[in-house]
Amino acid sequence: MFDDIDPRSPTPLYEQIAARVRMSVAAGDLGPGDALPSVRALARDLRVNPATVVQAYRDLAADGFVELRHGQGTFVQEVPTFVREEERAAQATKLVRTLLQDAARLGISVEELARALNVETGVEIRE
Amino acid sequence: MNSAIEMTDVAWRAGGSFEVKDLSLRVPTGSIYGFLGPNGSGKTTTIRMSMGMLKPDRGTIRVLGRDVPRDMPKVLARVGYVPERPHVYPALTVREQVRFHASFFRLWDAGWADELSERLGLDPERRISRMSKGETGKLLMLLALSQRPDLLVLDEPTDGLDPVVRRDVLTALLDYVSETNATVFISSHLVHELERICDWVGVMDDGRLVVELPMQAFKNGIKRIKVADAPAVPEEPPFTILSRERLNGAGSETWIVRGWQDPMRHYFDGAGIGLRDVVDLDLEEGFVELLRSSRPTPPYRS
Amino acid sequence: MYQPMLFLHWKQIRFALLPFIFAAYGLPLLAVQGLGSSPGMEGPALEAYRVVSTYQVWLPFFPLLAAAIGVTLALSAWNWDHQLGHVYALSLPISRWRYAAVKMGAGAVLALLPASAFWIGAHVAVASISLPVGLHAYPDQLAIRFFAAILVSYALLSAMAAGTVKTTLWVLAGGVVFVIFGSFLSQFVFPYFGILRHTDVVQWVFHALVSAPGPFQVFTGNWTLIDV
Repeated sequence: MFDDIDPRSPTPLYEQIAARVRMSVAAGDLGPGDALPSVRALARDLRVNPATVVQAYRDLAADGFVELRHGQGTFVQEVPTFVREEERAAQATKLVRTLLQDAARLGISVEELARALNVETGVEIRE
Repeated sequence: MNSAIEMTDVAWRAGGSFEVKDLSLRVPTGSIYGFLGPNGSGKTTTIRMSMGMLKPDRGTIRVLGRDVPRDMPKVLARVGYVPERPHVYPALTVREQVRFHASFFRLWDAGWADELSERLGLDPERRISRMSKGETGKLLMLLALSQRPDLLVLDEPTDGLDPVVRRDVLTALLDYVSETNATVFISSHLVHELERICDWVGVMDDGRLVVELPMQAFKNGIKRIKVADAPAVPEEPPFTILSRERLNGAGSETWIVRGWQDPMRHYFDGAGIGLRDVVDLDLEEGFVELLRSSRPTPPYRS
Repeated sequence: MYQPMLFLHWKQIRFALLPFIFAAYGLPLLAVQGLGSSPGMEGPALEAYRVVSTYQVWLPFFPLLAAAIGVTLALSAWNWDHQLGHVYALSLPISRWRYAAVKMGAGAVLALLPASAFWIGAHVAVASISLPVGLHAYPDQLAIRFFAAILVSYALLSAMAAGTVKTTLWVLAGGVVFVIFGSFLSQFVFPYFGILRHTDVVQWVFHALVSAPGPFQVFTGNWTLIDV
């Protein structure tokens, strides 16, 4: 789940970690009651500052994705369907934004992008 | 006390031409502070001053709330130090060296030392003179951590070590920090490693502390900007332009700027400059650009 | 910390110390060689004279050996620290003075080894000869003096080895300045003012250092094992 954490990215590491957890929950890979790795273990495995993991978990708790049970660990909460859908939509928007930015940098138009998407997926893209 | 290390207006001179000037540095308690800078910029000198080995000519230094070097022995009981050059006795075995070191620290945790020794794969009967650089590096970290210090001062602890050893040493360090919330002051040339673990960054150059910021602020603040129709002298930008480079294409330039914030995009509309792109720089690129801009331009750069 | 420091010093010196221990044991035995083996054919007074004067030949070697052991102890104590640039000691939570004091103590304990060997050797030497009437043996006093001499030379060299080369040079320079200035005072200034006549400052200080209770008295005092 955390394999592609990129310290060099401008996105803060705690955000990246939290985003991974959110996506896993949204995709159904993590269910209610599942335990997240302990702060100590995750910091050690990813070789990041433990404070980073703490912040990620706190953000997730604030958004209602996990519950921090003192002394026991961090556990995934039951997340309503619409929240999961929102998360998926947000991730999709982020991917598209990146794609559009990169395309603009290379001077590729939206039409050309749509055409390529069409070819790759067989899904008709309407503007 | 909210700073583990606090230096105010410190100056020090060797007698030659090298000197440290106007050094005001703060390592917040509980942070992992990355100390960057080219060789000869004064990093080791600063570290030695914080350890009371050098006395500053001017200014004050406080470590863990006490004056340095006046209260030095009391402070050193709570500071774990990994120096640039290993300070272990080559003729001793690991076991003998550990026993020697342990006898000076009341808070020594023998169980933790044993666990670390096993985790790091150190052979207690091995003579230090026969150990590789990586094994010595692991031993130094073991000694520093087993003291159970409140502050770790690490001078290039993993530089020159192979990736496997670096991983072992770093995870031992992070494990300790997870458990104890100790402060870490670490200097290194391995910028990517620091980028992973540090939440503060300080950059030394030529005896001066050039930048001291939370890691995220530093990284976010340095950008590579592509502009078009740039005038020779842009009017009063809200950011600092570290360097400018002309690209082929009229008025097209690449600027390296510092102190960038997103709303500053609007400046370009007002100044009649075309903003083509804002590119993020990672810590190493930001660090290199920051230093490059403070040096005289080499002849081959247009 | 005391035990590991002692162990550290031991590890630094153990190979060098062994020959010294043997030398310390053997020297008294050498010094009494050929004495008292043939009961006097001469008269007792002449016999006594022969014993003492034969012994005198070996006299300078006792303080020399003691000094050599002291110097070796001092150099070995600080050798490894020197190689590491003294950084280690400075990073330990102990003041420089206390660190040096513990080191000195460790060296003093190690000095007991050759000193004990000497003491045993002295007793064996005395037991192996039959003393002529009128002469007495002083093995215990001599052994104490031997031990003290080791400690004094050890302390002196330690002070130099623990300090930097600069400090040592300053101390030596200070000594030279003192000699010159003191002589000047004694030869010219005091006579001019008519005070402290017949006082040579330098000689006076030297005398104070070298005779009891000065620290160097231990070297210039009485090293005789056998005497009247």
